[in-house]
Amino acid sequence: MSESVIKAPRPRVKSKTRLISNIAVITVLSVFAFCQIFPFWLQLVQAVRPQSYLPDGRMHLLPESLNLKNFADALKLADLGTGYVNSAIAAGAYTALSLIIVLVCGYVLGKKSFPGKNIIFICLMATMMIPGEVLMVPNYMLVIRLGMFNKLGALIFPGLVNIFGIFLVKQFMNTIPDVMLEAAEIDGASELRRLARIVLPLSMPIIGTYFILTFIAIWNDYLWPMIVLRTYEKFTLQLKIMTFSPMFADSRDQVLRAAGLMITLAPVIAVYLIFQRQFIESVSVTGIK
Amino acid sequence: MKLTRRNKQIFSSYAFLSVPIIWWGMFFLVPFFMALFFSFTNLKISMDAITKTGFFQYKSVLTDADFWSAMRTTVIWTVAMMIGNNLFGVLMAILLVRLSKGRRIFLALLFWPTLVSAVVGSEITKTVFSADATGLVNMLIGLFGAKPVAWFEREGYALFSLMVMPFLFGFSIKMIIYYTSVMSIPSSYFEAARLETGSYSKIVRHITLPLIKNAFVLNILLSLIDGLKVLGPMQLITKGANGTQSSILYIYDYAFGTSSNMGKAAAAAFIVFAFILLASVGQLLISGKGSETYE
Repeated sequence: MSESVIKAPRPRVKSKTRLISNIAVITVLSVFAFCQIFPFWLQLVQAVRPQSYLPDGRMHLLPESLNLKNFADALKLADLGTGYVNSAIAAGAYTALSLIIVLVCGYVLGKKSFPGKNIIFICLMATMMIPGEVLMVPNYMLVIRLGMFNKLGALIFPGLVNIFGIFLVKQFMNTIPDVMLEAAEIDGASELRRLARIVLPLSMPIIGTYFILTFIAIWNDYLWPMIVLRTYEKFTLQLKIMTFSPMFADSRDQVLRAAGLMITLAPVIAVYLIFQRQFIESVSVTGIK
Repeated sequence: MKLTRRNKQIFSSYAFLSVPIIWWGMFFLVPFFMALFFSFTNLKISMDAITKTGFFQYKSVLTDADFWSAMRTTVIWTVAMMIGNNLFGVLMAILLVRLSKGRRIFLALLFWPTLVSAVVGSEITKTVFSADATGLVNMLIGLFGAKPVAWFEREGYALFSLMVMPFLFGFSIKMIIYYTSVMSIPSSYFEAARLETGSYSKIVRHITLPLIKNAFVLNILLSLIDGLKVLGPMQLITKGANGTQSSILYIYDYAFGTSSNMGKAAAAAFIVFAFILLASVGQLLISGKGSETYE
């Protein structure tokens, strides 16, 4: 993947036409990139305003002051700190636990031969067609029956067997040569040892992909948390920001909401800036977000 | 009894798979059949006294004008997103490949909106289309002398307002898929074509576009499935008011709303599921024919 990203068909046209076309291309791309960022930028400007500002009906492209206290206030009023912790627990635990299951199942379905393998695989894949929304009602009832209602466990345990992840890993296993595993088996390495010493190190790219995509998906989800979490101290970050309404009934509300939004967005953007390349490659490998 | 190597392998495979499969059965298979059962009952959120109602719930969904208006909204959304996201996606991909430097920067700049959660994205849409004169869109139309519009309050404007931003900027994932697909075309194709013609638009029309047909098929299918399952903007911005109820929001409102009727919600879920399945199969049958490869 990385190779194909680097090497590319390079247009070999006369340099002047090429310069003009390059400028045109850059202009179009820049306009789109700018339009995407602009509404977020306006919210950032909003977020650092003095809380006492009076709307004057004009658009302010640059912040007139840098009132960082807004962030502290929003963090406290909306209790975003708890939201951070809850989201991190749910997304972290789900991603880590489901990763183990996905790896083991993908390995067994990809590298072993046993009767019924194809039937099991096809049955698992068929459930990918069922939209989660169909299962919303019964899963809600199951969560209540199992005593997981209003607990973070409800975000972690019901969906632990991630079928799409199993599919991803199984496809990836095809790239690991059988001879390596056979050689290790002949040398007397046990099944678990082979998994830990050969399969795991070789699977690092797919583990990274799975981790990034799953963590972000759980971190950003609001629907299932909204169904199974009831009390405010259990809310994830997304629910906190969704229900955040400062009740000053003046311009402070807008400023604090904007600050809250920026706090919610910041970690995702920060992680993106660091792992930007892996993100893009993950998506191009899997074709989904 | 001594285990042979093959028996040992079979045994360990089943051992490894057993726990995940039981888990999967409990949280996928059982709920699926529970949902199917519920769709033939009058289950309420209070979960008391279930009575079997036969096909009553299916009939009541299919004869509900609200359901069909939700389906209409959903289909309009799906078609709009399919067109917008694929059009801009393929355009961005082709432009990106045309760049000789700075591809990675633009790729990153155009991709990041994918990471914005539904909740944050909806809040941004709310501010862009806010009803007062300080909303971005109201300010823009104000430049032409128009009065501020309460975008989400008016039937006919509400759905349009929800669609504008995803239509224009929801292309990131499609763009990446197209981009990868264009990059995988052997460069010798372009070199050969360049000997024949100096026109880049000809090369795009006759080489690039036909050779990324597989990406088109995949992207259209993804647009279709994602579009028919749309919920976020409708639920978070307009709460389904003013003609913006989508079919999944219809299901959600019946399941967890004030007039809870989980039986009806389950029946509607199966109808929508059948619709998505039919649409996907139909799309694959139409577009799957004669796909091109470079081999």
